[in-house]
Amino acid sequence: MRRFDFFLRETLQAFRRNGFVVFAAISTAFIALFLLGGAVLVQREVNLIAQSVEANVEVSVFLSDDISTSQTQNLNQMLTNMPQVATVHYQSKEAAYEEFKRLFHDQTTLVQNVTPDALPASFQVQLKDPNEFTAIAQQLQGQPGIANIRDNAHIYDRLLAVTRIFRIGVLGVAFVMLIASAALIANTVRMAVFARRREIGIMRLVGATNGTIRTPFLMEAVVEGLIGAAAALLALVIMKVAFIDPLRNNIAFVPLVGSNDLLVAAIWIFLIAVVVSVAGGFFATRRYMDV
Amino acid sequence: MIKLDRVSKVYKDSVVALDGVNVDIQKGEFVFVVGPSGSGKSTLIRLLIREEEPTQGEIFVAGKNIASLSPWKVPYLRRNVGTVFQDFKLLPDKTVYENVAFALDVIGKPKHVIKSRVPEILDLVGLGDKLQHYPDELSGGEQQRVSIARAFVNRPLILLADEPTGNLDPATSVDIMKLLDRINRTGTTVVMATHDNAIVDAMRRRVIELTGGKIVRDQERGVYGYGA
Repeated sequence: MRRFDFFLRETLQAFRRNGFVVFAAISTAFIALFLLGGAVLVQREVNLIAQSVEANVEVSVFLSDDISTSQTQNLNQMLTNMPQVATVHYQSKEAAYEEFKRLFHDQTTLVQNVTPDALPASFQVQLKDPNEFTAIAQQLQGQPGIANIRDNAHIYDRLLAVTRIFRIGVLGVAFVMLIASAALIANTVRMAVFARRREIGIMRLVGATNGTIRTPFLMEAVVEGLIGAAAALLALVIMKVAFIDPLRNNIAFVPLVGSNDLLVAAIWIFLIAVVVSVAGGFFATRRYMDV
Repeated sequence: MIKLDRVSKVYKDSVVALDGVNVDIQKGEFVFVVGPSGSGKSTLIRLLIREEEPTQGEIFVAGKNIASLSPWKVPYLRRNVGTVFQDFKLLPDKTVYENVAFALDVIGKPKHVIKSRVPEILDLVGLGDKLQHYPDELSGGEQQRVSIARAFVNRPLILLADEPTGNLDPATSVDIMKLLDRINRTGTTVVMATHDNAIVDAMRRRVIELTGGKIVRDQERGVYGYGA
């Protein structure tokens, strides 16, 4: 294997020679990898939200205002005895009002217009498995004193559906961009091969192996890919610091992607960058390698 | 050292370049391959370094059947066969020293080997004082010496020369032939394709004459041609 400084010199020379084309290849790789990293982070965020939803799925059994004490006790007993139920918590009208005031503390007009009497009492039921909601609802159907049964999972269903579409879209665009960047990297390598066709001819003549001939070109491709990857990672870090981290203090109830998620994205970015650039470089040099 | 057994080469456009050629060249021989343009001389050279594969027949170089050589072994064949061409094929942006060193560098020879062998071989070809010159600062004869040095620096068993004097004036050609003769006397087998009848006549070595892809004459201590 030849000396590393030789390969490095050849690579730098190629960059000088085809500056603009190399720039185009690197920026396409950058955009593709940035989108890829973004998609990875969105995926992680969706998982985080899904996990917190799973942990927090609650069935609210709202009670009618005219429910009697015995009916309430009866319902409580029934819920507690259900095998699918983890915990049952009774929320009185007063407690519901307190909760309401806490949630909307910054909207004073809203709070002023709602009297404690307007909010129903309820059982807050935690399920062992959030998918058991339908079974619970069916069993409670027709019991006296129940005004309404709701689970809060469907709120998140919409959110998950939207993010899934967003994720597929971003991944799709990233995929197309990755192919484009492989093609552009292949193009810069092809130009480098063309500029050095004389050397390649002599190398083949004196018995250099395909590996020796090919390595500088593959290295050029990988360096281009890695520069794009580094730029993409930098952009993601900036995005995180500028947009996600400030949110952390404002919205406490939604979990946010953190540094370890960024690390996972970085691993993906660099892995894909190497794969894409090696593929591009390999493709571009294949034609010149047949002996 | 070199053996061709009923070798034919037909190109895609059904041009027959070689047609059932049998050749046997011993170690240390000096052989001229002569014949008119298109008679198959260059094809013969290209077959010997597996630049091309024969359509039919077997080719043995240094004991190996190169017609059936797997592609990844081809570089190792070429390390045993030096090649020199009419157009020198030097790298213009490298010095004389670098051009020769390049041939060793790309086959992974260590630095200290390159440092000792390159000046030595350039001394042998008479360019010991022009190591740092660039090809365009040299005469044609000197450039061909560099190319011979590059072909020979790895001590190949065989040296192939395709019209090495084709671009040179007669006096310079004689110098190049003296150099090839010296290389031959170190035990290296030399095969030279040429048009140059004066040189062939003067050297009085084995002559293989090709016409239309067939061997029409194979003569020890021959001359260029009866009618030439």
